[in-house]
Amino acid sequence: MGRSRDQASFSPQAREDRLINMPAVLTITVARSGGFAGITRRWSVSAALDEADELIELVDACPWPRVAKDEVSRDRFVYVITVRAPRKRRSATVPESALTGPWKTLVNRVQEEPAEPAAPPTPPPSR
Amino acid sequence: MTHGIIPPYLLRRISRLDDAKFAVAAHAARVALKHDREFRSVRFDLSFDENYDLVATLVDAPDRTVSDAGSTESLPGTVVRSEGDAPVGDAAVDEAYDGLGATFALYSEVYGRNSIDGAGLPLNATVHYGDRYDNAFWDGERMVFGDGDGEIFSRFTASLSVIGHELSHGVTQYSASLVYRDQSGALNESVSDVFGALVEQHSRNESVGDASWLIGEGIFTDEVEGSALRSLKAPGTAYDDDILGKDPQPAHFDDFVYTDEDGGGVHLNSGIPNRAFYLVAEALGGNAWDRAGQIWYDTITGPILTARADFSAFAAATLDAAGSRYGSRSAEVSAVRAGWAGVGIRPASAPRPAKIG
Ligand SMILES: [Zn+2]
Repeated sequence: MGRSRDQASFSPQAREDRLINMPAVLTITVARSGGFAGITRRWSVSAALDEADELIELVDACPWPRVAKDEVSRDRFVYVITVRAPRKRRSATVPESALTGPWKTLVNRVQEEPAEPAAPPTPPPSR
Repeated sequence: MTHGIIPPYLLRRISRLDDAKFAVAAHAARVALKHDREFRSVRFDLSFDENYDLVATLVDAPDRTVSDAGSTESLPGTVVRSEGDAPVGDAAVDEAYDGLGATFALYSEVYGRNSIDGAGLPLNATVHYGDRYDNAFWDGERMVFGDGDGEIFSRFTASLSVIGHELSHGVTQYSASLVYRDQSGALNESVSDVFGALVEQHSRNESVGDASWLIGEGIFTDEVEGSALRSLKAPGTAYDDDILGKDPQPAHFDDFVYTDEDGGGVHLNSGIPNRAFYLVAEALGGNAWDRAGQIWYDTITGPILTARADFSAFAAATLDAAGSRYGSRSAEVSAVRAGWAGVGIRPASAPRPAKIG
């Protein structure tokens, strides 16, 4: 993502958070769309920024500006990976065939996170 | 009249027969063997006509190879069943093999197309792809099937319509090559659903009224509230489950879904042209692959359709195809027109750009 995007995310909310000394949070979301079924699934992981070294390392290892395209496959998954932090927001659309190496490691890590409890409570995920 | 498939060793034996009584058969066998070497697969059929004369015919035949990825994501995997091999007893392998054959049969017997490229391209499948992998896809050269997670999805080869769907992506790749996003992408998906459904109907000899018109029947586990992934007859009604939610497909252009996901909702908006096809087939009756299917096949292989066609341009191309084959005042043209009207699509006015002067 370009500079302008980074500056744009300098939202009033982010500034306010820092003023009242809220811990800054890093959030990584993965939205997997496409596939034969066309059903989108989402996963996310959040951590206080000062405890997010492990996640930042995984994010920095990914080749963000250089994602391979896949024009020939049909019915494969498409991953939209978004990282949000108080002064940063970056996002990449990664076709399944390009989800290798550090991308795969990052997505696996986010998918490991147990699903956030929704309200009203949903039935247990093991079915 | 019964047809038998002659294995290569028998072909070689027949080709060496000296007896004048079998001269025709021997010649045909030699042609078949030569054809097999030089081109692709053919089937050599022997039968008797009403005078008890031996009749030998050469017909197009599939050349199938099924590989096993052994729960890894490396392709193609290990070959486990090749053309002519007996069933191996692994359901995914044997379903893939039979599904490749049923798909080949529809295109070959009904539309005269020899395999997905029209030139006898070998048909390849990989099964047991990935670990609890919840998907089936076409990678440009082969169809690939996961075993499912066992909780929501079971193995994807269990549905013949899914196999027909994947191989039809190959047919589209070698014909209309509809761009895989937005409306042309939804049309690409719809063409695969239409011919996936037709492969299943043709193999079961089901008429329009007998068919389920479902895509992916049998790939949900018993835990899921739903019969299949999609319905061409009633898009939006295939499943309604507490975990998966409700089938989100629109059945009318008024409900077109705008989204950035899934290439602009190619697996959602396909419901609109899917329903249009169903309406055409329902109006014409009989077997859907005969006339409705022929019109759609003529459309994707015809001269008018462009890779970036939208619904309206596709509708116009189907009208043109119906008119060319059945006449502009035919019942088929009326059915096609009514089918598109039924989903809120007005065919583009000039399918053939007419140049004046
Ligand atoms: Zn598809």
